[in-house]
Amino acid sequence: MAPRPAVEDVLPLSPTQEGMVFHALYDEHARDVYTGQLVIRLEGPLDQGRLRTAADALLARHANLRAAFRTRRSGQRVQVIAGGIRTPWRVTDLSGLPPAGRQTAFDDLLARDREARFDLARPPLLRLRLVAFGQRDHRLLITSHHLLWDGWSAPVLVRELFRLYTAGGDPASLPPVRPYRDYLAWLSRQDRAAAEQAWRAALHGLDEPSLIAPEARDLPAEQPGRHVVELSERETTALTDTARARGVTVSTVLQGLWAVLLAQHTGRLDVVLGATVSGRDADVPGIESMVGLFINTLPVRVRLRPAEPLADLLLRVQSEQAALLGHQHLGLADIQRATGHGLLFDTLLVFESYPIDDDGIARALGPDGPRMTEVSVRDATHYPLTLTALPGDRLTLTFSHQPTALDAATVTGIATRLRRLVRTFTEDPERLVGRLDTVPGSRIHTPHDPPAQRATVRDLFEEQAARTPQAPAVHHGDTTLTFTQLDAAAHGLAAALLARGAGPETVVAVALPRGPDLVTALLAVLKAGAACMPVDPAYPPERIALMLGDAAPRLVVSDRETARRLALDPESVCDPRETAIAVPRPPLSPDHPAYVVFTSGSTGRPKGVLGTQGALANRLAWGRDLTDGPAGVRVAKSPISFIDGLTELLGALVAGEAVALADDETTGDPTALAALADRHRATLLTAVPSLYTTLVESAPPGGFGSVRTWISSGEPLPTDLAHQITTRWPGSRLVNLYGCSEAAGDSLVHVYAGDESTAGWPLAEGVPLGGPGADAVVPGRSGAGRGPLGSPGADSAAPRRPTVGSAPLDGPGADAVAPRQPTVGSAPLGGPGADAVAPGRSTAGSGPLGSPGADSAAPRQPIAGSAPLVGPGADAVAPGRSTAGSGPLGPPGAGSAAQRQQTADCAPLVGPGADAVASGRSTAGTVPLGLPHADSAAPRHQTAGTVPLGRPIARTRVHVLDPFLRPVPVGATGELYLAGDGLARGYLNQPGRTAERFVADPFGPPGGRLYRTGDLARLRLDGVVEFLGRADQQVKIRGFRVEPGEIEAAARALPGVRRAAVVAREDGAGPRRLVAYVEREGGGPDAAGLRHALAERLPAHLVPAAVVVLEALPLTPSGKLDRRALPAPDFTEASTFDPPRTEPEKVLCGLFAEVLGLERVGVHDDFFALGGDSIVSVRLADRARRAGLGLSPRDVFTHRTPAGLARSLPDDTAPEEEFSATAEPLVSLSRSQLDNVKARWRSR
Amino acid sequence: MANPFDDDSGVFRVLVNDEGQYSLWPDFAPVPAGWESVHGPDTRAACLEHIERHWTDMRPRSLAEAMRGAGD
Repeated sequence: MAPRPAVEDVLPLSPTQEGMVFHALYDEHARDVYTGQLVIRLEGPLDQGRLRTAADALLARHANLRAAFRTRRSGQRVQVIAGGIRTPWRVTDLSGLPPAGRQTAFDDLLARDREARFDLARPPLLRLRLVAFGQRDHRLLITSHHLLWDGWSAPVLVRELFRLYTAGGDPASLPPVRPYRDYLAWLSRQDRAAAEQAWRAALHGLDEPSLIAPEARDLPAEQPGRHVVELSERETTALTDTARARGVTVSTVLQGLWAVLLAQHTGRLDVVLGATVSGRDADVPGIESMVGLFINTLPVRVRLRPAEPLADLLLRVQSEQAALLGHQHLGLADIQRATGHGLLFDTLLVFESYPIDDDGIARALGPDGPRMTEVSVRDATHYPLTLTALPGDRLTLTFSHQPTALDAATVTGIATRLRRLVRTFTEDPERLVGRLDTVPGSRIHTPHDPPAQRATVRDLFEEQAARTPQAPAVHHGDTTLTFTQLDAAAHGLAAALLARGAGPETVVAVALPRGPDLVTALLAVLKAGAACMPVDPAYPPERIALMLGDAAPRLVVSDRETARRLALDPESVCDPRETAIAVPRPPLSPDHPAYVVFTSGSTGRPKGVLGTQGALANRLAWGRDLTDGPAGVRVAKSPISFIDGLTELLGALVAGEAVALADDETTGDPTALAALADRHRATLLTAVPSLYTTLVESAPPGGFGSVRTWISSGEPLPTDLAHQITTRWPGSRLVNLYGCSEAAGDSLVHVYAGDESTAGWPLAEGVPLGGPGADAVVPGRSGAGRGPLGSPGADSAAPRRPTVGSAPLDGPGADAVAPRQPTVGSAPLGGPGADAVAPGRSTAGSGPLGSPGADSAAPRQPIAGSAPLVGPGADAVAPGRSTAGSGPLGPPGAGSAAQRQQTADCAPLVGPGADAVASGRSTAGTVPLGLPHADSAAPRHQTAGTVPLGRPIARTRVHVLDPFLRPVPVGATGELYLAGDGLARGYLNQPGRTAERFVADPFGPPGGRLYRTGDLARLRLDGVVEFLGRADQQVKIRGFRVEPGEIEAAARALPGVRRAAVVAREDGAGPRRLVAYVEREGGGPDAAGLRHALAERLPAHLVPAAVVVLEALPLTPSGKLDRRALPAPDFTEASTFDPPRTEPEKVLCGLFAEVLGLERVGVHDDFFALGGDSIVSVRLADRARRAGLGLSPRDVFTHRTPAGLARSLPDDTAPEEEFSATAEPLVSLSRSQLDNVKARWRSR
Repeated sequence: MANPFDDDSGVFRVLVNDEGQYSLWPDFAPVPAGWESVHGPDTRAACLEHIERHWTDMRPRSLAEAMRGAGD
């Protein structure tokens, strides 16, 4: 047994080491990416024993190489320097193999070696192996943990090893070494406070991290993929010269260009990348010849200005970096802590600026020794993407990436673009940042578009009515109208409207309850050539008045009861049964408006979208093919005041299908909806995902049996929900639609194919439009210019790869993109038996370390890695802060006694020390401390687990653009823009707003327009668009588009409210709901009063589920609303917690609590005051029914409290009446509020 | 997500196409084909004000002309 090594020293860790230990211990079973390999080829006579002696001497000489890493009981991590340990040394002889097999065997050996983790508690964290290929041809493999030394140390280490070889291991042959502790002592003397201040200033106002692979967090470490690009000598010289002429370093150029790439990938102008600094500028004499880990990974923040010349940007980056020069000693984790940021970046740029003294190394072996002919390095980082730049006559750019986070094609694309940017810089450094070259088109369009419809909606309907006059058109209750009947009724009313001045370029509002008259009225308005403006009569009258005031309709089609309730001007009201002698219809152009639909407006007022006949006709004609097979029946249940309500209803009619019109009570109740669908044998139903959730849960057995097509729209559709829908109703088809009022409702379509997974994007082969059964979509039934559902044909899916074929990646490693999978072999790592043989390739990326340019066939790899170090969120214990207590930083010698003592509270070093293992475990136990930081960065991306948005519908183009209005590469985040026939004319009476949302289109026909949606998206390689969230604050609640700004404005307009903030939040098991936070001035109304007041003014879907009154809204240091600091609403505040008195009450209280996600609920607690909504009411009714209490969602709206609901039960289940006298509702509602509540219940 | 159209401190132009439709446009980006700059470079607010003042008929020009023709 080897003698137990003595403890020579105990030192704190440098910040970089702290971060690395964190990552090494984060998952002790995964690969440790910080295990690096250095392979040196030695040709010529070699004395093995002498080399081993030299290695021992090297280990004896450098204390760093003997460090182990432990955690004290206090939690502090330390490095313990062991004395008297020998170098782990093994010899493998491959010379007996056929020459061709040696390299393969060696590759296998390297792969296995990489997988063998070091135990950080057991020194040394390095091992050597001499592999003989032949008598005069060897490979020396030095495997070590990156904790010990950085890339800048490698040449020193190799040179000294060879010097010791020639000197027979004599330590005196080398000058004394300066200990690492001197560096640590220097670190501890640095001005921490000043550095923290400098970093706070540098990162001030930064909103979000810059992540190129936002979904890659917490992926297990894996073998990196590599892609190498070598610039030509000419390119390299041009780069160096231009940089010099512009007064910047090549490193700065790369940082600036990398920032431009990041902006393109993240859609942000304020980006952060990681950069490694050498740390060798520390004021420690002789630091340049020391062996150790000095490098640090630091954030580089770059704020891009599209209108700034590139050269100016680079100068600015350089001067901003210069301001931080004295503060680069602060570790990343400390910077994160000081600035309040979690994860900042996930890409790293390493500029290998260290000198390699090849001649010195060659001389060190002496004239009689072997020659070092090749050296190669393999190491990795934990970042999804690392760019290592190695200067030289030909600048070498090595992109290493985690294949799971970023696939090879994406990385190749990035490399190509970077090279292109380098060229732009050398050719035109004055180019504006906003006009930098990019790859051509990631734009997608429909190549086989049907010819332009140039139709009007009335054309489509009337043609259809003529084709199928006797077919049923509308089912409502017991009433059925045929196409002829409907057409005749609409015709009569249209004549009346025309007679009263309606016609093209006028607006006619329709305010009617859901019934056949509503359908007639909408068609009549369209027949008259006017734009129809559907108004939901359940909206608050104040809101309706606002909308009518904005749109100034010529007429309002309304029945007497509704008109009276909404206090409509009798002069403007037209009864839906009114008719007139037919008058000639004025000509109608597809450019005339067809609809006015109001959407939530961020500035506080709803905005009216004015859509054209042509746009709506295009959408409706395309939508005929949503029906898969023969004509059927489509349920119309979406609220009519939204575009989806219109397209759903009219879409059925122009397809020759009947509408099964759901009334107000049916829209949100699974049982009633199923009854409606089953009664009319409905074949198609549209709903928002939140309603699908309840349908899947609560639809009666056998319900919806006739439905062949399910359409989801309004919100991202979770894949598990999609799976549940298609599982519950096998044989049916699920179609995900994406769109907005500004583009006739729908612009993208995706047919769910059952195996959606975003994990493999963008390489994953896209699910063809329609997936299985998509073909069935194609044949049109009426033949009237109908195309398939999306962009037809596989051609459109032809991946537009960002790689540009004409730009050869001329580095020899260019094809080394594929990650090298470690071969899992059974042969033991060491020992003479390790000569497993397998045919294979030779190691790529090894090259001579000889004179520059001596062998251009191989890129010169940096010696030893300069892998980056500190990881996201690593919670480093700062060294140096504990100087006083820990002592090891005292003058050499003085502390040795103290150091010994300190080992006492360290785990023992080696040997019988089972404690060592335990110690290691306890270290691991402290690791997660760093994680909350990382997690606190609010993830923007929602794509994981949602069904894609798909491809454009007919005559529609989509673009995903970066902040410079250029198409983003496949896989990168950008903003979604729409173009084509679907675009609306604009916002009613709002030219400014129209001109900033409907903007000039640089990609389509001259003079065309783009609508910018504000949605974030990315393209898959197959052209499918995926949704990633919102670029602004807009939210979706149960499918409704909600601008919090509008609700905030409404709240601020209330007396006694100083400031207001509205957010959508999901707390615990509760549903996603709107919460308003209000800062009051003086003694304004309380929370309930404020909510009440909002309900008077806003439609139900905009009324917050809760109002929370705060002393002051929480703000971030930069003065913005700190959303994370907003408290969850306490819905139980209003609760009286009166206990249940009867069995039904007890059951209901329990169900209330369950569906609302609350601890407990009292019998008099109001369902809506507790945060309930229509969706939750369905769940409650469903649970109650299962518990034997016959309740409908409508009952929940009517009776509201457990006591009230219990009272409403039939006698046989009703509770005793003893308390009924006191069970009055807590709140009495006005008529409009009641309507409002009804509207809420009817929400889809 | 940074959108160039929302940059309050940005420099903009006002573009108009053949149909008399207006577009706000960031000055750094090339003017797309079929569009003409009629105002700017200027602040965002000033450009929007220009649009509010001048874009008084939001009908496409060809439609407005056709309607005038029909009315004659």
